[in-house]
Amino acid sequence: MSLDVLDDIERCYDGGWSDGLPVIPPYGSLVDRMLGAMGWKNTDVVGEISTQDLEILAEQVAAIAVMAGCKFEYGPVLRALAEALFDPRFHLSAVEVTTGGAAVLVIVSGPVVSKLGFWSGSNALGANSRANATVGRFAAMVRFFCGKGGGVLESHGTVGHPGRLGFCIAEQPDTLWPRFHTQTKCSPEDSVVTIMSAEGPNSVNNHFGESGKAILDTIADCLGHCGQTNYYWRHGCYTIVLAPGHARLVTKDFSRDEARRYLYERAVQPTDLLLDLGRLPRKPNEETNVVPGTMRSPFTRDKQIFFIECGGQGGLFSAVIPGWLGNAKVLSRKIAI
Amino acid sequence: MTELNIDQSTLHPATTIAGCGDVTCELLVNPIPRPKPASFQVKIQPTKRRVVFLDNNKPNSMDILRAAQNELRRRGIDVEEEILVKPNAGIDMPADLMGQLSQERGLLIMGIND
Repeated sequence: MSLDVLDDIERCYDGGWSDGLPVIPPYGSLVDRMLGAMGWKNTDVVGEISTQDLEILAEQVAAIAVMAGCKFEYGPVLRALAEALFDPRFHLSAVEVTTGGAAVLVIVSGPVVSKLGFWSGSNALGANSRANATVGRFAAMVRFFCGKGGGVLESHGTVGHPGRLGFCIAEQPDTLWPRFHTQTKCSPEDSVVTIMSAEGPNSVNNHFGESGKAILDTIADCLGHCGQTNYYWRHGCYTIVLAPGHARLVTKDFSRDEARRYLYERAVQPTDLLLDLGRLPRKPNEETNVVPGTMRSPFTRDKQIFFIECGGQGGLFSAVIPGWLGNAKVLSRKIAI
Repeated sequence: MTELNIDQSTLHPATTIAGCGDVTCELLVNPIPRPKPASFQVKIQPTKRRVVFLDNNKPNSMDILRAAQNELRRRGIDVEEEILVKPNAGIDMPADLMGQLSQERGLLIMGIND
């Protein structure tokens, strides 16, 4: 790399074209190659955020892919991912500016995981692999650059979390339950990218449980702790990450639907306790159906819970990734690869 | 929760950056979309037969505008006596002045220099 390129990286910083980390300068020649890999022309309108009067051009998305450090061969993944991000149901601007400090969680599943080198083993939620790191960063930069309405809006995340710099996980190639994306009505054999808006992951440790029930009870305790954002409006979807050790125990005793139902029924708190703590308002909105004297789930239906199998063989951990409550949709797109 | 930031000049990222890379200079592709301006209507025919001048503080502009005022009056055209002043030609029109001008029904002549 020449000093000129380093100067260009600094120019990008000076111009506000950065997520905080150094970027690959989006030279036109690189952006053109990325456009080709994505199957778009530079002036194609690939997204629209009507609330901000924004049209997003293909060349802007391709520039972001270059800047994030993505390989050209990731093009089909990035195109599917961009289409999901610009789906109006995802509320990209809201994800960017919410006080909830949400990130875009990207989940890659199916044959593409092995084909493009996504990592699904140890440290799966913070994988030091180029595919995970750059594709996750791409989604985060699209959120940051486009969600702010071209610089008009300010972000108001109260604490946020590190996933706002990039949060891409991959499902392990061989799963005990059906593949992740069958939960979003995709075909098992497909390669799929899925997004949800997410808070930071909560680790769940259980090294001495000997049954699937023991593991799920521990996960339910984490899923239903009083601090969960979802307790009031209950719109968000949650992802449960089962690492191999826990997955072996849980899948031996439960089908995925049974496990989902089990968690839904046990991840609860007394409504009166939530009221006493101030987790629910004294005069709740009628839509939220707060009923004193009952147990309250952070969900209104068990389909708000998703499972993914990934992680290392070493310890016996799982994780709960809470969804941001302002976004009730988990969106999947088939990857044309 | 969202709010508009009034001082957008401190938030707006650059619109163009030229890079010089390893081989040759080329423009970097701007990754950041901009809001589309709201649609508006422009009337090119004044509804009142009157001329208003706006000085932009360019060299000699006030002298030129005064001379133009006199010439138009000599030809029997109604000319507003007060010449409005935009403090600096290099910066955006102040909002209050823009608001005042938007209500003008005559012909506005502005931005003159020699």
